[in-house]
Amino acid sequence: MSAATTTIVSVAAVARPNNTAVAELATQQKAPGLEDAFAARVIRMRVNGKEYSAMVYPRDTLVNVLREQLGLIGTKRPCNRGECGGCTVLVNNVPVLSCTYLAVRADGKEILTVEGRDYDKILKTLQDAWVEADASQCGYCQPGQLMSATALLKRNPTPSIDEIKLAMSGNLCRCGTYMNIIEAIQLASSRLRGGSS
Amino acid sequence: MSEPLPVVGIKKDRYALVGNKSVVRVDTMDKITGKAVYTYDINPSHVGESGFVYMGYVRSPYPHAIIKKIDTSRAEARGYAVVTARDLPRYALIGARPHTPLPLDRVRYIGEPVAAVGALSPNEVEDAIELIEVEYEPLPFVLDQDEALKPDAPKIWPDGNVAGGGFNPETGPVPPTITIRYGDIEAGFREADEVIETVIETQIEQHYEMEPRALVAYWRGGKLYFRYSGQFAHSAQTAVANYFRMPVSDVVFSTSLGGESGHVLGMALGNKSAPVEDLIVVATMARKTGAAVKYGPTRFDNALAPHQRFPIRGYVKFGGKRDGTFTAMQAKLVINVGAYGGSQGSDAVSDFYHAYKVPNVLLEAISVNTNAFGFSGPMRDVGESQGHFILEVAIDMLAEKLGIDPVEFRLKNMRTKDNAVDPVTGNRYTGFGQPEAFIGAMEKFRWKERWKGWGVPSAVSGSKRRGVGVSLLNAAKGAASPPITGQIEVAPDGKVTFYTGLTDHGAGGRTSYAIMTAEALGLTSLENVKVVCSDTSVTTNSGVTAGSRSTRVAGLAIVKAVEDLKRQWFPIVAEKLGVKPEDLEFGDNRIYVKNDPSKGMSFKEAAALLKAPIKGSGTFTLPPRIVSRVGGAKFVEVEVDVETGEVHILEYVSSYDIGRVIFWKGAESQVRGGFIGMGMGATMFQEVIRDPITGGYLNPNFHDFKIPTIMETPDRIDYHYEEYHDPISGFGEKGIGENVLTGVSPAIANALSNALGGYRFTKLPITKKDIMDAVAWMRRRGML
Amino acid sequence: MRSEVKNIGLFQPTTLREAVELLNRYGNDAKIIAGGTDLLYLIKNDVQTHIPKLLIDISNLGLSYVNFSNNELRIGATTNLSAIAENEVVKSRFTALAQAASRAASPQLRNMATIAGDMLQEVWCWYLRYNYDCWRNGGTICYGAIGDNRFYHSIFGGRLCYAVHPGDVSTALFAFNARVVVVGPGGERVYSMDEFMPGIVLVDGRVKENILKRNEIVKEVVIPTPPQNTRSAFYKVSDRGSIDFALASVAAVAQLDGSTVTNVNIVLGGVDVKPRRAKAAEDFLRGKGLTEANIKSASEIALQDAKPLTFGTGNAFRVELAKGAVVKTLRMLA
Repeated sequence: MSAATTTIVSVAAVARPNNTAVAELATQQKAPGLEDAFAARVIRMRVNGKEYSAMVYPRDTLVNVLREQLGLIGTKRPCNRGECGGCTVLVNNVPVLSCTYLAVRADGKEILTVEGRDYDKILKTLQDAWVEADASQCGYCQPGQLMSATALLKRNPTPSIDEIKLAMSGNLCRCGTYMNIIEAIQLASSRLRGGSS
Repeated sequence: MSEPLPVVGIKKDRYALVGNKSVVRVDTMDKITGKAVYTYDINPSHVGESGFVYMGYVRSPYPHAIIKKIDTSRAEARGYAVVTARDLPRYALIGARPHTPLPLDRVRYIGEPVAAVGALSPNEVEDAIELIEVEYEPLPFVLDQDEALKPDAPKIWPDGNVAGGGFNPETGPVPPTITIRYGDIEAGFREADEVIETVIETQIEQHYEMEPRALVAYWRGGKLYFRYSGQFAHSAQTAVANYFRMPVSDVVFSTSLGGESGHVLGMALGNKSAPVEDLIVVATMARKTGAAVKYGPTRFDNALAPHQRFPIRGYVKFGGKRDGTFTAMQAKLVINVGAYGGSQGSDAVSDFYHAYKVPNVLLEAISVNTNAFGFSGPMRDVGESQGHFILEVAIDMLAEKLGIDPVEFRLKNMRTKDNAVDPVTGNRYTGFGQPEAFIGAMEKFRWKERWKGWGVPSAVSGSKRRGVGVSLLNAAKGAASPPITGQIEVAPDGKVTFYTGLTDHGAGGRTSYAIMTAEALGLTSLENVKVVCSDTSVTTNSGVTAGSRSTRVAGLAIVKAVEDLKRQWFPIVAEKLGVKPEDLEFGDNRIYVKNDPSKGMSFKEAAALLKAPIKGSGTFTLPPRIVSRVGGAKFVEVEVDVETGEVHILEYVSSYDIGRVIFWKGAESQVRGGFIGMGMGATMFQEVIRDPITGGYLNPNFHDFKIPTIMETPDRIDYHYEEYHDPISGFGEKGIGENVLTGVSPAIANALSNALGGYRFTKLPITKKDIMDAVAWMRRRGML
Repeated sequence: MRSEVKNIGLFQPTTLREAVELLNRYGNDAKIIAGGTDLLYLIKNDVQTHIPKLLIDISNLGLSYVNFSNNELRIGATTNLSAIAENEVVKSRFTALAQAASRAASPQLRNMATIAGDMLQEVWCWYLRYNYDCWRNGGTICYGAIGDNRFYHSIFGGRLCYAVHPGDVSTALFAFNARVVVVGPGGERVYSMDEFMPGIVLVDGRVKENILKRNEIVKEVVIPTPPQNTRSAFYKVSDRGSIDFALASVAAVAQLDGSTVTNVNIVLGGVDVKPRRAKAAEDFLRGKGLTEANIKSASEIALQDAKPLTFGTGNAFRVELAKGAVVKTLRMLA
């Protein structure tokens, strides 16, 4: 049969020519600041109570910096598209998706990851509760789950089941540990309020 | 009939740790504090390197095409490493459809790796991929299994599209079509008062486990080392060694890393079975570059990753009598096994004739190659989910036509412990807790109160309608298949280590193995018990961590290893106590004299008598003509909003003839998780979506391949364990990992049908579109 | 298809003026970034015509605020959806907006995504997202019109691009007669939602559904405070209970005199190339009571001019879902 190439378009991962070389901008004006815009820059942030400084490019996301540069592998990157919640960390106590958070923005911020067990009492209490309530199976999504849970208990120490579900609704778990996660959060909440710790 | 099987394992009146509800998972804390290292987390220093070469794949954008040319010059000019089929030993073909790990001249599924590139950072790998130019000549493609059987369908293989071949170590060469026939099917239909004939089918699915299937490989001192996120280390070791024509011991799969838990694995579900292709390509890249290579798949890579759950289309014809007797069971399963898949379906077919005792049976399964995906494989179970969906929806249809309660029909015809024999081979079940398991769930679910009749919802309130549904469970799981090995080492300081070729990919194996090891040694805590999994330099092949076999297999290995330990250790202790070795037993953290329990010494004291660590080795060979199957039931109540198609699961009750529960918390988590994490999604949301025009994969991401969120969690999940001591086991255990999933889909489908006036759902997934179709159907009949 | 972000430059201007100047200078090569939740996705997926070489970060220009005064609500363009959802005034006086903001995406994304981003986000069409050469990506075809259009394509027909606008907050903004303040090199302009999002248009040679030019930045959204007797509600039908876009959604803002509707805006979201006012249904309900019967009729009328796609997979079921969403929303007003 004829070997005519059709115009069917590829899905992705097509070998396309590399047309985004840095210097080849449509506007050729070498305006001041252009080279700096591509340059790496220093950011300073406090992660789990410890000061860090890192050299980052604009393209670097916070999850990559945490894992590769700071060696904090607790935060995982299951999808890298902001769809699964697995990379959730707290930035100034707010849960964000570190795969979609540019590292340059972390400058001057407080970051909390699962390595912050000794630094954050709520996180530690949740981690203990996680073990007791068997809220983790394969474990890969759980750092993200824990960070969402920590943020929840920080802003709402006594959440209802519906409030728990809402707060955790951006974290996927293929092992399906959600019911145990709810129980773990309830357990931690009661411990923090004055049960045995 | 035949005498009962001898009890192999340890049977106690009371266990300290087995089944103990307070035992927690041993590796959770390390995992949730960032100490445990997953393969994806491995950095060069973990393996004694100063850097990695990161690998990525150039993938085919076409579902079927001839490769005319691969131009790697631009990538190589920039210093990137490239591996194509030319770099591989071409004589070595692998797989059910023999092929080279990278294609020579043709691609057969979209996303098929065409070349591998290596660069010094993950960023650069992607730049490198873009510099490879591949010229394709697209060919017509076919995505559907029935389409691929038509005479004018594009041929994917020279001999056509019927997938054959492969070799089952237990039964020999696997034929392309499977036929099971006994009795007289025509007579069976003549006898029947009613016959149902229908087509029921399932969808292509993918695992979407959170942990990508990462891999690290390097050559050192003539040996090939792997760090691998996989469940078949020893098999992979053999396969790779065979491929490179190396001694098996020169290929090392290692899991030791710094820290207590060391190298851990995320969820596998069968997607982390031996994908030998990746292992070979990474090893070749490592050899070519002289460096350690890390392949960390992106989510896109992981979605296109070879194994998909194979969809089955079942042409079903069942017949029965008005008194509820099931007289004729006929089904043809047409299975889409993807481009490189081999014959599948034996498990699905076996579910049909094992689940029910029907005198007249004709079952066929035909596996068909298509361009829909690369390889077909297990997705938690291996065809049982699909088989059970087709079977259990058809059973409901037959029962409905006969006007019999679906639970009554199943109770009347299901296989129970009284006829727990494979009707084709005559092999007997090791143990079987039916009908007790089924009845246990039925009663916990209060079926009799809730079932109001065919097409009659169990409750209606405004736009919300409730329905109840059931599925039987009978699946071949927990087999004590060979090889079964394991070693237990006791050190003079009292520390115990269990070495096993099995692994723990989240199901809790490590904890179960530790529990059984401790229990067998009479210890009451896991404190001094460690488990080393899947490290080929120190563990021995104990088969795959799949088929829900690992708990049983580990249990058998452990009790045998303890017998061997006793042979080495008890003489030393006996001498010290002035008794004979056969007088001694483990228990209560001691070694004591059976007839005089006050006489003995503590475990620690006994260990201190050892001059050096001792190792007990255990192996077990299954007696012939034995099968292992797990029975049970699944009951679901759903609530449907007919205005918006929203479905909520109110209650889910399942049961398992589980033998003995070893890791209690782990088992409960599996029961819940199998439903929430996978079962619901498979039934109501998930589907690999292919573009009809280009064959493209439209949803290789977590957004559009929808696994359930916490919002989908049912209100109540309960379960019933039918416990008894299964004779071929360490402690009575069978297996549960896959059974928590099998049968969920039909139970939900049958419940939805009950809520929606009896509208039959015969295709997965059942989405809001299907619900609204049901609503429209009800409206046309004046039911709404 | 990539995973890592390509080499890209980043400016972090300190004033809005500076941001506009940068955008104007670098034109085709630059895009502004606020939450970045949509833009980074497109960049990672290597959607060819959507990849800037330069990013201009506007997340720190003081554009995150929710200010309420008697006659209007002013929300800065980079205000996060979670801030909007949790704001007490928004919850009580602009309820549908708070509900819409709280149902968008996921909690983490709501902490990052912005109100302007909700309006300006690219359509979620899997053909576009996987780099097919469609109208929005340098080609001359809409794959959705003939292919798999079950979730993400219009049930009201279309031209050129059939993908729906997926914004929940945008849907509510239409229902509240919001206005959009846009800043460009020539100064500020204010648009109604209809003017800002008129449907498929060609802007700077690109197929879009909003009129924002390449060198313009959305600064603020202004919502006139509705009268005291206003009730509003938002309902979203989605596949899962979180994360997913709307299969159909409805925002309704009504003034009630007792149980009689004196005025109502009903907007359908996730079903058309822009949020769509159901004018016929509004006309029907005006002057009537919010009875079950009237609500049902309104839902039928709201979808009476639906033109679901019949090629490819088809999407007629979303017409039914949209009716259901109308019913659920109107019931919440009663």
